[in-house]
Amino acid sequence: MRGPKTLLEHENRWVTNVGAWFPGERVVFRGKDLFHELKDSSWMGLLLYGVTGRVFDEKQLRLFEGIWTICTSYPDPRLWNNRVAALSGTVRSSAGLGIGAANAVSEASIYGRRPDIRAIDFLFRAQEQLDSGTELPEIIHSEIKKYQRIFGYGRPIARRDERIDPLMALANNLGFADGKFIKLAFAVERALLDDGLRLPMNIAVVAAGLAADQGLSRREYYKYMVLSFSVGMFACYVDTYAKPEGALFPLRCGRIRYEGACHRRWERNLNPKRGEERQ
Amino acid sequence: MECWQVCGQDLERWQRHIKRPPQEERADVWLPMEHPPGFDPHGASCRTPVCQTLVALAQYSAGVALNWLQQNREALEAAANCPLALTGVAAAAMIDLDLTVEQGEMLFLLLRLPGAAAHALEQREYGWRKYPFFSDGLILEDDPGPVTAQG
Repeated sequence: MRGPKTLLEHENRWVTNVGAWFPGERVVFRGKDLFHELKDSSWMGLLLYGVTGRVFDEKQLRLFEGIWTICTSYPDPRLWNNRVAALSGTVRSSAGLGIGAANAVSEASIYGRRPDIRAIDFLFRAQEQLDSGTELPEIIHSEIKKYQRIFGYGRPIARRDERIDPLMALANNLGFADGKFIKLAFAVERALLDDGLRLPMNIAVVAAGLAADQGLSRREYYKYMVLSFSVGMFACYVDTYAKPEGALFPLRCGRIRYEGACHRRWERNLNPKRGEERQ
Repeated sequence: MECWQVCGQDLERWQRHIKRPPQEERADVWLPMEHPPGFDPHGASCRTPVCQTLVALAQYSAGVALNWLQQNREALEAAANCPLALTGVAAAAMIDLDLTVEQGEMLFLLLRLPGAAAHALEQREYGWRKYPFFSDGLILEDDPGPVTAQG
Protein backbone atom coordinates (compact mmCIF):
# COMPACT_ATOMS: atom_id res chain seq x y z
CA MET A 1 0.00 0.00 0.00
CA ARG A 2 1.20 3.45 -0.84
CA GLY A 3 0.15 4.89 2.51
CA PRO A 4 0.29 8.59 3.35
CA LYS A 5 3.65 9.23 1.59
CA THR A 6 2.14 11.64 -0.94
CA LEU A 7 0.28 13.55 1.75
CA LEU A 8 3.42 13.87 3.87
CA GLU A 9 5.37 15.17 0.88
CA HIS A 10 2.73 17.84 0.34
CA GLU A 11 2.33 18.91 3.95
CA ASN A 12 2.52 22.73 3.97
CA ARG A 13 4.13 22.53 0.55
CA TRP A 14 2.35 23.29 -2.72
CA VAL A 15 4.70 23.66 -5.67
CA THR A 16 3.03 25.49 -8.54
CA ASN A 17 3.57 27.49 -11.70
CA VAL A 18 0.00 28.77 -11.78
CA GLY A 19 0.48 31.84 -9.67
CA ALA A 20 0.61 33.51 -6.29
CA TRP A 21 -0.39 36.68 -4.44
CA PHE A 22 2.28 38.75 -2.79
CA PRO A 23 0.05 40.75 -0.43
CA GLY A 24 0.06 44.48 -1.03
CA GLU A 25 2.73 44.12 -3.71
CA ARG A 26 2.01 42.07 -6.83
CA VAL A 27 0.28 39.05 -8.33
CA VAL A 28 1.87 36.42 -10.52
CA PHE A 29 -0.54 34.77 -12.96
CA ARG A 30 1.02 31.80 -14.76
CA GLY A 31 4.47 33.33 -14.74
CA LYS A 32 3.40 36.85 -15.71
CA ASP A 33 2.89 39.94 -13.58
CA LEU A 34 -0.88 40.55 -13.56
CA PHE A 35 -0.71 44.32 -13.15
CA HIS A 36 2.03 44.91 -15.69
CA GLU A 37 2.15 42.17 -18.31
CA LEU A 38 -1.54 41.20 -18.29
CA LYS A 39 -3.30 44.41 -17.28
CA ASP A 40 -4.49 45.14 -20.83
CA SER A 41 -5.71 41.60 -21.45
CA SER A 42 -9.42 41.11 -22.08
CA TRP A 43 -11.33 39.00 -19.58
CA MET A 44 -11.68 36.27 -22.24
CA GLY A 45 -7.94 36.44 -22.93
CA LEU A 46 -7.17 36.05 -19.24
CA LEU A 47 -9.65 33.20 -18.88
CA LEU A 48 -8.06 31.29 -21.76
CA TYR A 49 -4.58 32.06 -20.47
CA GLY A 50 -5.63 30.65 -17.07
CA VAL A 51 -7.18 27.56 -18.65
CA THR A 52 -4.47 26.78 -21.21
CA GLY A 53 -1.34 28.77 -20.27
CA ARG A 54 -1.28 30.02 -23.86
CA VAL A 55 -1.81 33.52 -25.22
CA PHE A 56 -4.36 33.81 -28.02
CA ASP A 57 -4.37 36.61 -30.60
CA GLU A 58 -7.06 39.24 -31.07
CA LYS A 59 -8.91 37.38 -33.83
CA GLN A 60 -8.97 34.14 -31.88
CA LEU A 61 -10.33 35.93 -28.82
CA ARG A 62 -13.09 37.48 -30.94
CA LEU A 63 -14.04 33.97 -32.03
CA PHE A 64 -13.97 32.60 -28.47
CA GLU A 65 -16.02 35.52 -27.19
CA GLY A 66 -18.42 35.17 -30.13
CA ILE A 67 -18.98 31.51 -29.24
CA TRP A 68 -19.88 32.60 -25.70
CA THR A 69 -22.23 35.31 -26.95
CA ILE A 70 -24.05 33.20 -29.52
CA CYS A 71 -24.11 30.07 -27.35
CA THR A 72 -25.09 31.69 -24.07
CA SER A 73 -28.11 30.42 -22.22
CA TYR A 74 -31.08 32.26 -23.70
CA PRO A 75 -32.72 34.51 -21.10
CA ASP A 76 -35.81 32.34 -20.86
CA PRO A 77 -36.74 31.02 -17.39
CA ARG A 78 -38.47 27.97 -18.88
CA LEU A 79 -35.12 26.43 -19.81
CA TRP A 80 -33.75 23.89 -17.33
CA ASN A 81 -30.69 25.71 -16.04
CA ASN A 82 -32.23 29.18 -16.27
CA ARG A 83 -35.15 27.93 -14.18
CA VAL A 84 -32.69 27.37 -11.35
CA ALA A 85 -31.36 30.94 -11.61
CA ALA A 86 -34.89 32.31 -11.91
CA LEU A 87 -36.16 30.30 -8.93
CA SER A 88 -33.24 31.53 -6.84
CA GLY A 89 -34.29 35.10 -7.65
CA THR A 90 -37.95 34.49 -6.94
CA VAL A 91 -37.16 33.08 -3.47
CA ARG A 92 -34.64 35.91 -2.86
CA SER A 93 -31.59 33.69 -2.70
CA SER A 94 -28.24 35.30 -3.54
CA ALA A 95 -27.11 35.75 -7.13
CA GLY A 96 -23.92 33.83 -6.36
CA LEU A 97 -25.84 30.77 -5.20
CA GLY A 98 -28.35 31.01 -8.03
CA ILE A 99 -25.84 31.41 -10.85
CA GLY A 100 -23.49 28.82 -9.33
CA ALA A 101 -26.28 26.26 -9.04
CA ALA A 102 -27.56 27.03 -12.55
CA ASN A 103 -24.07 26.52 -14.00
CA ALA A 104 -23.75 23.24 -12.09
CA VAL A 105 -27.06 22.10 -13.58
CA SER A 106 -25.68 23.02 -17.02
CA GLU A 107 -23.39 19.98 -16.87
CA ALA A 108 -26.32 18.15 -18.36
CA SER A 109 -26.47 15.28 -20.82
CA ILE A 110 -28.83 16.68 -23.44
CA TYR A 111 -27.52 20.24 -23.43
CA GLY A 112 -24.57 22.16 -22.02
CA ARG A 113 -21.28 20.78 -20.87
CA ARG A 114 -21.55 17.06 -21.56
CA PRO A 115 -22.52 17.54 -25.22
CA ASP A 116 -19.68 20.10 -25.43
CA ILE A 117 -16.95 17.74 -24.31
CA ARG A 118 -18.48 14.71 -26.04
CA ALA A 119 -18.76 16.65 -29.33
CA ILE A 120 -15.12 17.76 -29.37
CA ASP A 121 -14.11 14.28 -28.21
CA PHE A 122 -15.99 12.75 -31.14
CA LEU A 123 -14.27 15.07 -33.62
CA PHE A 124 -10.84 14.16 -32.27
CA ARG A 125 -11.58 10.42 -32.26
CA ALA A 126 -13.12 10.57 -35.73
CA GLN A 127 -10.11 12.49 -37.09
CA GLU A 128 -7.71 9.92 -35.58
CA GLN A 129 -9.63 7.14 -37.29
CA LEU A 130 -9.68 9.03 -40.60
CA ASP A 131 -5.92 9.53 -40.31
CA SER A 132 -5.49 5.80 -39.84
CA GLY A 133 -7.47 5.09 -43.01
CA THR A 134 -11.00 4.38 -41.79
CA GLU A 135 -13.75 5.81 -44.00
CA LEU A 136 -16.13 8.39 -42.50
CA PRO A 137 -19.37 6.34 -42.96
CA GLU A 138 -17.74 3.45 -41.12
CA ILE A 139 -16.71 5.75 -38.25
CA ILE A 140 -20.25 7.09 -38.00
CA HIS A 141 -21.87 3.64 -38.08
CA SER A 142 -19.53 2.36 -35.44
CA GLU A 143 -20.20 5.37 -33.16
CA ILE A 144 -23.97 5.02 -33.48
CA LYS A 145 -23.83 1.25 -32.99
CA LYS A 146 -21.74 1.65 -29.85
CA TYR A 147 -23.37 4.73 -28.26
CA GLN A 148 -26.74 5.02 -30.06
CA ARG A 149 -25.96 8.69 -30.81
CA ILE A 150 -23.34 11.19 -31.86
CA PHE A 151 -23.10 14.23 -29.64
CA GLY A 152 -23.52 17.40 -31.69
CA TYR A 153 -26.04 15.86 -34.11
CA GLY A 154 -29.81 15.93 -33.61
CA ARG A 155 -31.50 18.29 -31.20
CA PRO A 156 -34.23 17.94 -28.58
CA ILE A 157 -37.28 20.19 -28.92
CA ALA A 158 -36.29 22.07 -32.14
CA ARG A 159 -34.82 20.46 -35.25
CA ARG A 160 -32.98 23.43 -36.74
CA ASP A 161 -30.32 25.11 -34.64
CA GLU A 162 -30.69 28.85 -35.12
CA ARG A 163 -27.20 29.55 -33.75
CA ILE A 164 -25.25 27.87 -36.53
CA ASP A 165 -25.66 30.58 -39.18
CA PRO A 166 -24.59 33.53 -37.02
CA LEU A 167 -21.66 31.60 -35.56
CA MET A 168 -20.44 30.45 -38.96
CA ALA A 169 -20.84 34.01 -40.28
CA LEU A 170 -18.56 35.21 -37.49
CA ALA A 171 -16.07 32.39 -38.15
CA ASN A 172 -16.13 33.25 -41.84
CA ASN A 173 -15.44 36.94 -41.17
CA LEU A 174 -12.51 36.00 -39.00
CA GLY A 175 -11.15 33.48 -41.52
CA PHE A 176 -11.76 30.47 -39.30
CA ALA A 177 -14.49 28.74 -41.29
CA ASP A 178 -12.21 26.34 -43.19
CA GLY A 179 -10.32 24.58 -40.41
CA LYS A 180 -9.88 20.81 -40.37
CA PHE A 181 -12.27 20.11 -37.53
CA ILE A 182 -15.09 22.45 -38.54
CA LYS A 183 -14.96 20.91 -42.02
CA LEU A 184 -15.14 17.47 -40.44
CA ALA A 185 -18.16 18.56 -38.37
CA PHE A 186 -20.03 19.50 -41.57
CA ALA A 187 -18.82 16.38 -43.39
CA VAL A 188 -20.31 14.19 -40.66
CA GLU A 189 -23.66 15.97 -41.01
CA ARG A 190 -23.64 15.38 -44.77
CA ALA A 191 -22.76 11.72 -44.28
CA LEU A 192 -25.58 11.30 -41.75
CA LEU A 193 -28.10 12.89 -44.10
CA ASP A 194 -26.80 10.84 -47.06
CA ASP A 195 -27.38 7.78 -44.92
CA GLY A 196 -30.99 8.75 -44.35
CA LEU A 197 -30.41 9.65 -40.71
CA ARG A 198 -32.22 12.89 -39.92
CA LEU A 199 -29.69 14.12 -37.43
CA PRO A 200 -28.81 17.69 -38.42
CA MET A 201 -25.90 19.20 -36.59
CA ASN A 202 -26.44 21.39 -33.55
CA ILE A 203 -24.34 24.20 -32.17
CA ALA A 204 -22.34 21.90 -29.84
CA VAL A 205 -20.36 20.35 -32.68
CA VAL A 206 -19.96 23.65 -34.54
CA ALA A 207 -18.48 25.44 -31.51
CA ALA A 208 -16.39 22.35 -30.73
CA GLY A 209 -15.02 22.19 -34.27
CA LEU A 210 -14.12 25.89 -34.31
CA ALA A 211 -12.41 25.64 -30.89
CA ALA A 212 -10.56 22.48 -31.88
CA ASP A 213 -9.21 24.30 -34.94
CA GLN A 214 -7.74 26.91 -32.58
CA GLY A 215 -5.85 24.19 -30.73
CA LEU A 216 -7.99 23.66 -27.63
CA SER A 217 -7.87 20.15 -26.18
CA ARG A 218 -10.97 18.35 -24.96
CA ARG A 219 -10.59 19.45 -21.36
CA GLU A 220 -9.44 22.96 -22.24
CA TYR A 221 -12.55 23.39 -24.33
CA TYR A 222 -14.79 22.07 -21.54
CA LYS A 223 -13.28 24.45 -18.98
CA TYR A 224 -13.47 27.41 -21.36
CA MET A 225 -17.20 26.70 -21.81
CA VAL A 226 -18.10 26.20 -18.12
CA LEU A 227 -19.22 29.79 -17.46
CA SER A 228 -20.53 30.50 -20.95
CA PHE A 229 -24.22 30.22 -19.99
CA SER A 230 -23.92 32.70 -17.12
CA VAL A 231 -25.08 35.75 -19.05
CA GLY A 232 -28.61 34.49 -19.69
CA MET A 233 -28.84 33.24 -16.13
CA PHE A 234 -28.14 36.69 -14.69
CA ALA A 235 -30.93 38.12 -16.82
CA CYS A 236 -33.38 35.49 -15.51
CA TYR A 237 -32.29 36.13 -11.92
CA VAL A 238 -32.68 39.90 -12.32
CA ASP A 239 -36.14 39.44 -13.83
CA THR A 240 -37.56 37.31 -11.04
CA TYR A 241 -35.82 39.37 -8.35
CA ALA A 242 -37.56 42.48 -9.64
CA LYS A 243 -41.01 40.88 -9.47
CA PRO A 244 -43.11 39.72 -6.47
CA GLU A 245 -41.40 37.02 -4.44
CA GLY A 246 -42.41 33.42 -5.07
CA ALA A 247 -44.35 34.39 -8.21
CA LEU A 248 -42.45 32.38 -10.84
CA PHE A 249 -44.69 29.64 -12.27
CA PRO A 250 -46.52 28.74 -9.05
CA LEU A 251 -48.45 25.45 -9.15
CA ARG A 252 -51.76 25.13 -7.36
CA CYS A 253 -52.19 21.80 -5.58
CA GLY A 254 -55.04 20.81 -7.91
CA ARG A 255 -52.63 20.70 -10.85
CA ILE A 256 -50.58 17.95 -9.21
CA ARG A 257 -51.81 14.40 -9.76
CA TYR A 258 -50.53 12.45 -6.80
CA GLU A 259 -49.98 8.74 -7.37
CA GLY A 260 -48.04 7.73 -4.25
CA ALA A 261 -49.13 6.09 -1.01
CA CYS A 262 -52.71 6.73 0.07
CA HIS A 263 -53.69 9.17 2.77
CA ARG A 264 -52.68 7.80 6.16
CA ARG A 265 -54.57 8.49 9.36
CA TRP A 266 -52.54 9.50 12.36
CA GLU A 267 -54.24 7.85 15.31
CA ARG A 268 -54.29 9.48 18.70
CA ASN A 269 -52.59 7.21 21.17
CA LEU A 270 -50.78 7.35 24.48
CA ASN A 271 -47.05 7.61 24.89
CA PRO A 272 -46.36 4.46 26.92
CA LYS A 273 -43.36 5.97 28.66
CA ARG A 274 -44.77 9.26 29.88
CA GLY A 275 -48.43 8.43 29.83
CA GLU A 276 -48.97 11.63 27.87
CA GLU A 277 -51.31 11.94 25.01
CA ARG A 278 -49.60 12.53 21.70
CA GLN A 279 -50.74 13.02 18.16
CA MET B 1 -22.85 0.90 -5.06
CA GLU B 2 -22.38 0.29 -8.79
CA CYS B 3 -19.53 -2.11 -7.95
CA TRP B 4 -21.88 -4.00 -5.64
CA GLN B 5 -24.45 -4.24 -8.42
CA VAL B 6 -21.83 -5.64 -10.80
CA CYS B 7 -19.88 -7.87 -8.40
CA GLY B 8 -22.31 -8.86 -5.63
CA GLN B 9 -20.64 -11.33 -3.26
CA ASP B 10 -18.23 -12.72 -5.85
CA LEU B 11 -14.70 -12.06 -4.58
CA GLU B 12 -12.97 -12.93 -7.85
CA ARG B 13 -15.24 -10.60 -9.73
CA TRP B 14 -14.49 -7.80 -7.22
CA GLN B 15 -10.77 -8.39 -7.62
CA ARG B 16 -11.01 -8.21 -11.40
CA HIS B 17 -13.25 -5.14 -11.22
CA ILE B 18 -10.89 -3.32 -8.85
CA LYS B 19 -7.79 -4.13 -10.89
CA ARG B 20 -9.34 -3.44 -14.27
CA PRO B 21 -12.25 -1.03 -13.78
CA PRO B 22 -14.41 -0.40 -16.84
CA GLN B 23 -13.09 2.63 -18.71
CA GLU B 24 -15.26 5.08 -20.61
CA GLU B 25 -13.65 5.59 -24.01
CA ARG B 26 -15.23 9.02 -24.46
CA ALA B 27 -14.24 12.13 -22.52
CA ASP B 28 -16.72 13.33 -19.91
CA VAL B 29 -17.28 16.25 -17.54
CA TRP B 30 -16.33 13.83 -14.76
CA LEU B 31 -12.69 12.85 -14.59
CA PRO B 32 -11.67 9.18 -14.55
CA MET B 33 -11.37 7.62 -11.07
CA GLU B 34 -7.78 7.56 -9.84
CA HIS B 35 -8.38 4.99 -7.10
CA PRO B 36 -10.91 2.21 -6.52
CA PRO B 37 -14.12 3.79 -5.20
CA GLY B 38 -14.70 3.08 -1.51
CA PHE B 39 -11.00 2.76 -0.72
CA ASP B 40 -8.55 5.30 0.71
CA PRO B 41 -5.67 5.97 -1.72
CA HIS B 42 -3.53 7.57 1.00
CA GLY B 43 -4.24 5.08 3.78
CA ALA B 44 -1.68 2.65 5.21
CA SER B 45 -4.24 0.44 6.99
CA CYS B 46 -7.95 0.40 7.65
CA ARG B 47 -8.66 3.24 10.07
CA THR B 48 -10.21 2.37 13.43
CA PRO B 49 -13.49 4.31 12.88
CA VAL B 50 -13.94 2.55 9.53
CA CYS B 51 -13.44 -0.90 11.10
CA GLN B 52 -15.66 -0.04 14.07
CA THR B 53 -18.43 1.29 11.84
CA LEU B 54 -18.29 -1.80 9.64
CA VAL B 55 -18.49 -4.14 12.65
CA ALA B 56 -21.32 -2.15 14.24
CA LEU B 57 -23.42 -1.89 11.09
CA ALA B 58 -22.86 -5.53 10.11
CA GLN B 59 -24.33 -6.60 13.45
CA TYR B 60 -27.60 -4.88 12.75
CA SER B 61 -27.89 -5.43 9.02
CA ALA B 62 -30.46 -7.82 7.64
CA GLY B 63 -28.70 -7.68 4.27
CA VAL B 64 -25.62 -9.57 3.14
CA ALA B 65 -23.31 -6.82 1.81
CA LEU B 66 -21.96 -5.51 5.12
CA ASN B 67 -21.27 -8.98 6.50
CA TRP B 68 -19.64 -10.06 3.26
CA LEU B 69 -17.53 -6.90 3.25
CA GLN B 70 -16.43 -7.58 6.81
CA GLN B 71 -15.36 -11.12 5.92
CA ASN B 72 -13.59 -10.12 2.71
CA ARG B 73 -12.22 -6.69 3.63
CA GLU B 74 -8.56 -7.71 3.68
CA ALA B 75 -8.75 -9.54 0.35
CA LEU B 76 -10.41 -6.53 -1.24
CA GLU B 77 -7.84 -4.17 0.29
CA ALA B 78 -5.07 -6.32 -1.14
CA ALA B 79 -6.64 -6.08 -4.60
CA ALA B 80 -7.11 -2.32 -4.27
CA ASN B 81 -3.68 -1.86 -2.75
CA CYS B 82 -5.23 0.58 -0.30
CA PRO B 83 -7.45 0.25 2.77
CA LEU B 84 -11.23 0.36 2.91
CA ALA B 85 -12.63 3.88 3.45
CA LEU B 86 -15.82 4.94 5.21
CA THR B 87 -17.37 5.59 1.79
CA GLY B 88 -17.01 1.85 1.06
CA VAL B 89 -18.83 0.96 4.28
CA ALA B 90 -21.55 3.50 3.48
CA ALA B 91 -22.04 1.98 0.00
CA ALA B 92 -22.43 -1.52 1.49
CA ALA B 93 -24.91 -0.20 4.08
CA MET B 94 -27.00 1.43 1.37
CA ILE B 95 -26.99 -1.78 -0.67
CA ASP B 96 -28.25 -3.62 2.44
CA LEU B 97 -30.93 -0.95 2.83
CA ASP B 98 -32.01 -1.81 -0.72
CA LEU B 99 -31.48 1.74 -1.98
CA THR B 100 -30.95 2.44 -5.66
CA VAL B 101 -27.66 4.06 -6.69
CA GLU B 102 -29.42 7.40 -7.13
CA GLN B 103 -31.16 7.17 -3.76
CA GLY B 104 -27.88 6.23 -2.10
CA GLU B 105 -26.14 9.19 -3.70
CA MET B 106 -28.77 11.59 -2.33
CA LEU B 107 -28.68 10.11 1.17
CA PHE B 108 -24.88 10.12 1.17
CA LEU B 109 -24.82 13.82 0.28
CA LEU B 110 -27.27 14.61 3.09
CA LEU B 111 -25.31 12.60 5.63
CA ARG B 112 -22.06 14.36 4.72
CA LEU B 113 -23.54 17.76 5.56
CA PRO B 114 -23.16 17.70 9.37
CA GLY B 115 -19.37 17.51 9.03
CA ALA B 116 -19.25 20.42 6.60
CA ALA B 117 -21.63 22.38 8.83
CA ALA B 118 -19.42 21.77 11.89
CA HIS B 119 -16.41 23.15 10.01
CA ALA B 120 -18.35 26.23 8.90
CA LEU B 121 -19.68 26.90 12.41
CA GLU B 122 -16.22 26.49 13.91
CA GLN B 123 -14.62 28.80 11.33
CA ARG B 124 -17.29 31.40 11.97
CA GLU B 125 -16.38 31.37 15.67
CA TYR B 126 -12.67 31.63 14.89
CA GLY B 127 -13.05 34.59 12.49
CA TRP B 128 -11.26 35.13 9.21
CA ARG B 129 -7.84 35.81 10.75
CA LYS B 130 -7.63 32.19 11.89
CA TYR B 131 -8.31 30.78 8.44
CA PRO B 132 -5.50 28.33 7.60
CA PHE B 133 -3.71 30.38 4.91
CA PHE B 134 -0.51 28.29 4.67
CA SER B 135 1.44 31.55 4.42
CA ASP B 136 4.77 29.82 3.83
CA GLY B 137 3.33 26.76 2.10
CA LEU B 138 3.36 27.91 -1.54
CA ILE B 139 6.41 27.50 -3.73
CA LEU B 140 6.16 29.39 -7.01
CA GLU B 141 8.31 27.78 -9.68
CA ASP B 142 8.27 30.55 -12.25
CA ASP B 143 8.23 33.80 -10.31
CA PRO B 144 9.28 36.59 -12.69
CA GLY B 145 10.00 38.79 -9.67
CA PRO B 146 8.85 42.39 -9.31
CA VAL B 147 8.24 43.95 -12.72
CA THR B 148 8.77 47.67 -13.16
CA ALA B 149 6.39 49.88 -15.14
CA GLN B 150 8.87 49.82 -18.05
CA GLY B 151 9.36 46.04 -17.79
